[in-house]
Amino acid sequence: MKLNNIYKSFVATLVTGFAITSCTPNIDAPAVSKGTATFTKYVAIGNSLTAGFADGGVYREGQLNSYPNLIATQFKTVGGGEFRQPLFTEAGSNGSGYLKLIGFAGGRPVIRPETTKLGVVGVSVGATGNRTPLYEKFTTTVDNLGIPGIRISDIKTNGYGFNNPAGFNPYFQRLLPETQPTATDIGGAISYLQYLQKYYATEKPTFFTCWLGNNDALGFATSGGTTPLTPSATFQSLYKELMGVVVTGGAKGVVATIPNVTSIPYLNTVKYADVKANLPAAKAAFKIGVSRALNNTPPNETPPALPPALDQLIEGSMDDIYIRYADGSVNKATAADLFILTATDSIGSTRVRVSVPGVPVPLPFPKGFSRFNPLDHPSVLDNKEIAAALTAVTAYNVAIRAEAAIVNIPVFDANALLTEFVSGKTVNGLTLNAGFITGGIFSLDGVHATQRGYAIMANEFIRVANAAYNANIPQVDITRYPGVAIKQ
Amino acid sequence: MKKSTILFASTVSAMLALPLLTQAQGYQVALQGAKQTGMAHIGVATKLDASSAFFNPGAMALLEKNSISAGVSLISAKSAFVDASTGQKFETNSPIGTPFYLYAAWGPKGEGLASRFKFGLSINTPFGSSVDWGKDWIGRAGLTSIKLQAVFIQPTVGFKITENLGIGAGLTYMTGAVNLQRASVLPFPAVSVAGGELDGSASGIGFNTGIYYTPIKQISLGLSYRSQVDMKVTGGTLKFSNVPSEFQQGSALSNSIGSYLPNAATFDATLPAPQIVSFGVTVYPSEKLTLATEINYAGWSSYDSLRFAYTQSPNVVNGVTLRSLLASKSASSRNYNDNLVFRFGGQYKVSAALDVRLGYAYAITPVPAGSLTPETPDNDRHNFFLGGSYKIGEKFSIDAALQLVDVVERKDTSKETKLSGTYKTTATVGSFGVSYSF
Repeated sequence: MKLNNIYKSFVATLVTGFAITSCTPNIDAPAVSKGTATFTKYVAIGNSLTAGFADGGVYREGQLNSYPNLIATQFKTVGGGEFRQPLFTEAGSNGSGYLKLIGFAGGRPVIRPETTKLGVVGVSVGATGNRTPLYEKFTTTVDNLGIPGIRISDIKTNGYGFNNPAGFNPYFQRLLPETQPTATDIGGAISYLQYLQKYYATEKPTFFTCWLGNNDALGFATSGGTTPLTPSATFQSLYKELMGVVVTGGAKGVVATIPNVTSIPYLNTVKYADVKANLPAAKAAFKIGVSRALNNTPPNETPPALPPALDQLIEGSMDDIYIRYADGSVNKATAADLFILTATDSIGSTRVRVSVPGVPVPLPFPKGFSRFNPLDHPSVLDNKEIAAALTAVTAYNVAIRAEAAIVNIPVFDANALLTEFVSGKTVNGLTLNAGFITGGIFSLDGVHATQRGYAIMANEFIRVANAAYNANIPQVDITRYPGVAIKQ
Repeated sequence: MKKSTILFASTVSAMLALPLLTQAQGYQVALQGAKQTGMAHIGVATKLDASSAFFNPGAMALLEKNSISAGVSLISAKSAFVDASTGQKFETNSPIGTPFYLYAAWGPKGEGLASRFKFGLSINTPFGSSVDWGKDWIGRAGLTSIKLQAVFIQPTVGFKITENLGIGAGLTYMTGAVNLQRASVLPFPAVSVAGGELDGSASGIGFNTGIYYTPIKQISLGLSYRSQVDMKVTGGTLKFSNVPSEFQQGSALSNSIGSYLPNAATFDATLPAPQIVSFGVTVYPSEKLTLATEINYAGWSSYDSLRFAYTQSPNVVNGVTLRSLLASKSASSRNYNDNLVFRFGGQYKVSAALDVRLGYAYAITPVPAGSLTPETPDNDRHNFFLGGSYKIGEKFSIDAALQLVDVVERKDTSKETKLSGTYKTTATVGSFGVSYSF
């Protein structure tokens, strides 16, 4: 009997032990800490990347997942305050409009612009008849000061955000109050740098991120070398002034370098080899078309072969892909030339007819497939222009590092980050690269990031801030943010 | 007899449920006898009952009586993961694991050559795993859940060379099933759009051999070797769920750019149950006290990678064979190391009816840095054991044990998925068994 009691209590102990120990394993997560910086008032200075620009436009969803907004949310774990953005309204949630991938056809993505629920409230017609959309105004103070399109060379331009016939930036214009100088007094209108000084004077930010300078090289690259590069000496002297402003009041922060503008999908999706692969078919179709026209062959009959002289002329002019250089010369393209993403719209186009010796009528040589109708200069960033762009990016980044070092601000090397992703990088089981659509980090414009791409940038800013200021601010979970999605 | 019928029935129902859980190292489950579990799962140099058919067929040869034993364990395990970059914490919600065992040993009585033989049968679950991280955790692109179930059936024969030296061997047939699930398998997913599931049945063969020696009355020695069993999955099914129509076979996307996910595919894979060498020494300082120690060496280095080979029906459109997004094979490196487990245990006979047991085991993880994965969040382990047996009459015994497992916290970054963070696992196990000697 006694033994029976012992055994019963033994079993009871087992069962009790089983019950109480089935609890959650404990892991001591490293304590969140602000380190030596103060994150109470955060300001984001920059261009389209900072504004959350994606898929060729600024829209509310992109703004909500802009990297500054993601950073600000993480800063709240270490005392960060509210972060105000110039959000488009729900009614105008598609903002400037943006590109949507609606499916695939004939081996190509079908991309259409979103044109409903825009935040466009008017249009300004400029001196040359150029039309600039006017967006919903947002004139209360904001903390995301990202202005799409702005270059370092623009930061001291008076009237950069002033609606005037000479042209202006509508994204800056929407942030400025209506009380503007008269059109004849543009010189009195505020510059971006003055706008920053005003912000610093009233808002007294404790922490900033500053990512400017991309557009000083990007415009050159995406225009096939048409838009000029900002001279690097100009860049450095303006960046020095910028750094002087951003650290006002002892604000700490992080600045970022400029990614290599030539490795974006906008310049690496349409490849020389792929274009050239279409040449034989284009040439054969062209010859048949010419013969049909010359001989008035009915549509249901096969036209005769071309006269040998004309055939040779066509063969000789359609032996490669031809591009026009900046100096006007016509040259064969090579694998070292980069075709812009939208070049596919004009390659093979027969809108232009060219007169050639010995033929009575002008002929519609397909664009790019013949020396008589080369691809226009803006459609291709040729190898010399690539070298110029790279030289500029390198010089700008040297300037950024030097000027940041003077004011003792750490640098996030966005250029190195993009280089890592160009060759493919796995993050939390997701394999990402710089490929168009499939890569996951570049949006449909081939230049700006997807929300997943911006989440990666937010994490890099946080990582650099953590290291420089001995802080421990958690990063965001990039698997929660979308890459390119198919939208109907 | 009635009680044993009930227990047998519950064992059978446990077989039907079958989910197991990582319980020793890797996906090994060291819960193969409630008596042994009470004293650190030591069984190579002891001969307690028919369970020797599994622990050491040599010891089975020296059993004085015929014996049947059966039992089941309930494992409640929980793993937690704190992501290094985001600080988010995730926990598994794995089902209760129920490994079981059923042993029988019988030999002719009397004198002569025949009486030197013992015949045994071991049916148990020495390998298995069940981990479920949920479909919404940060590592879901690599794994959401895994379930590995394996039953080992081993007919065994033992031979008594002398009264204090026995040898034995058995042939092992393994049958089981594996199920692995993950999310986001598409090349440009929005957030988490699709799921992939691998499901298949596995089989394999191996052997088990052992020697048991009692040089003097106060000491017994045991050595056993269990061979590697390659658990082979052939013709397992691969299913995709929530696949957007754009990615399905025959879709506009697949027909235009030639990439698609197959409607159906099968896979082959092999998972090794490693070879294990065990050596044990048991001493009997008094009639009532037993002290035992054992060391296990497991050949986990055979688990160098997890490979899947896929077979899929091609998608042919207008005579052109389109390219599938599913590769023909995949390989994830594991690069496990051989590992050691040290076990220390004891038994004290409180009375003629009651034995109580205690034990401690320390296991060195076979998982090297960079190979720690959510499917086996392993590290060095401390195991604490407590158990007892209560005899009812001369023949019947009820056995119970409690085990607490503490897997040391471990930080790692997966070489494959780059998932980086800290894992911690704890488990509580209750083992219950019966044995009958005659």
